[in-house]
Amino acid sequence: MKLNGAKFIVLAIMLLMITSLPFSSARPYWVKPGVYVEYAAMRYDPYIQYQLSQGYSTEQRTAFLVYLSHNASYRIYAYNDTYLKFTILEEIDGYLTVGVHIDMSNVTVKVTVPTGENLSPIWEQNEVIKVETIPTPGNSGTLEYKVYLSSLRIKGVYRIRESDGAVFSLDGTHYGHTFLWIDTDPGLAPQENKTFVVFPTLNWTMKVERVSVRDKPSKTYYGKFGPPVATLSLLGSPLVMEGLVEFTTQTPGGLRYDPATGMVLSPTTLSILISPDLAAIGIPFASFMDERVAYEQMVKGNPMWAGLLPLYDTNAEFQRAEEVPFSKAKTPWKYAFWGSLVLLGSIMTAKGWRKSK
Amino acid sequence: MKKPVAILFGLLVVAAGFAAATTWAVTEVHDYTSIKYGWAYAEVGVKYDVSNPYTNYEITYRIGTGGLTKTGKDAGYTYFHYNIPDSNGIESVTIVKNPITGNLVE
Repeated sequence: MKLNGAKFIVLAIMLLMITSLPFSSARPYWVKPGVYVEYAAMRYDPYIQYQLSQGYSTEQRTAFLVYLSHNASYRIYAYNDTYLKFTILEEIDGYLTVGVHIDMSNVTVKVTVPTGENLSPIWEQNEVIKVETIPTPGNSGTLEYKVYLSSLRIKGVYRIRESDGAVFSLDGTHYGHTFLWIDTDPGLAPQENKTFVVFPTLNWTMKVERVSVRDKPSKTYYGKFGPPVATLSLLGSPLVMEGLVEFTTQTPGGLRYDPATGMVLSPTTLSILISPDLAAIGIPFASFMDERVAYEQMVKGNPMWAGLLPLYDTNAEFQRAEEVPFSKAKTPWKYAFWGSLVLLGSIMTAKGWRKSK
Repeated sequence: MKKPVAILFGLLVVAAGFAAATTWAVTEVHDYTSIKYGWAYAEVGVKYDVSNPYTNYEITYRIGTGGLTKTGKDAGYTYFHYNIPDSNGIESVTIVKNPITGNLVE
């Protein structure tokens, strides 16, 4: 095949464009070992006082977790500030290892143990305020413990595949796409009806219902993001974990993120959180209620906050991404670029000279 | 404004009289909460020993349902509902969502 002048120019330009594109990856540039992202659901007294003024005497909780550990199901209720911290520990063979700390205070744990079996504590002994046994129906063959704790930390480790954001527990079970970031690359961005959360043992999935973008900023404890900000809505069939959580309607999910960086500003806009990142460490269901957000959003009607578990802190350097030090003189691509321009110019000049003859 | 939640924990069953032998009675306990846009209902069926109602009882069923009030329907909101069953009760929770903003309303 012969290349005439025009074809050669088009080919040269295309090659230049391709070689100057950065390699695309599902992992945003700010995701790297050492980076942490922390979310918080805080207690807020004006919200509690408002609830009391309305006649609601039930205690307001900031978090509820179903935690599967030691072959038992723990129900964890937290009534004071709750923090979820995800730290990227290392990067090995295309997988990120992520450590999770969930720190809660003023906590009640309920766990049912078969009669005759020992209680397996998930708490430190010095955190225990008191332990009660709750009378259970006569022939159930179980004993329920109610443990009051000053504080409780749940720890876990899981992995995320860098190429597509897939979450795996350490035993290799796949739970869906991470809730730590949303892909900003148009080719990898969430598409309608794409599976996003998977519970393989229950044969249950939650899919993307839609992505909506609003031209308004969103507030977090860390700072303001946007505009615009985006909301990812998820929908699944009724999730039924018998005896633990039983949906009677479809199961919803909603998270809010910054479309510029992919950073998730709140992993839940609906209080419930069914996320691969928590499922991979034994928490298939959780519910969070930041009471300041609840007060602003549901009492005052101010929709400024990102969600009910807003971003609290991070050391990610996503806001100054364009200022990454870059030595132009040392990069070989610079020479390739100028070299190809010189080559192109010479060819065109030569062709022009031949034509003029 | 809060999530409509109906809770039944630590059932209170009142003794109906004295009996030399075990005499079983049945009852149901329920709770209903309705806020501006949503409602939640919880019901537990109990079979109990009339002489030892606090210690000798069985839960025969647990039901929890929820939905939107007329105001919630008129506002165009959507709802979701789930139950958290307990060894001696149930928590019935309704989530009211604004489908435009994607935010929790109640």
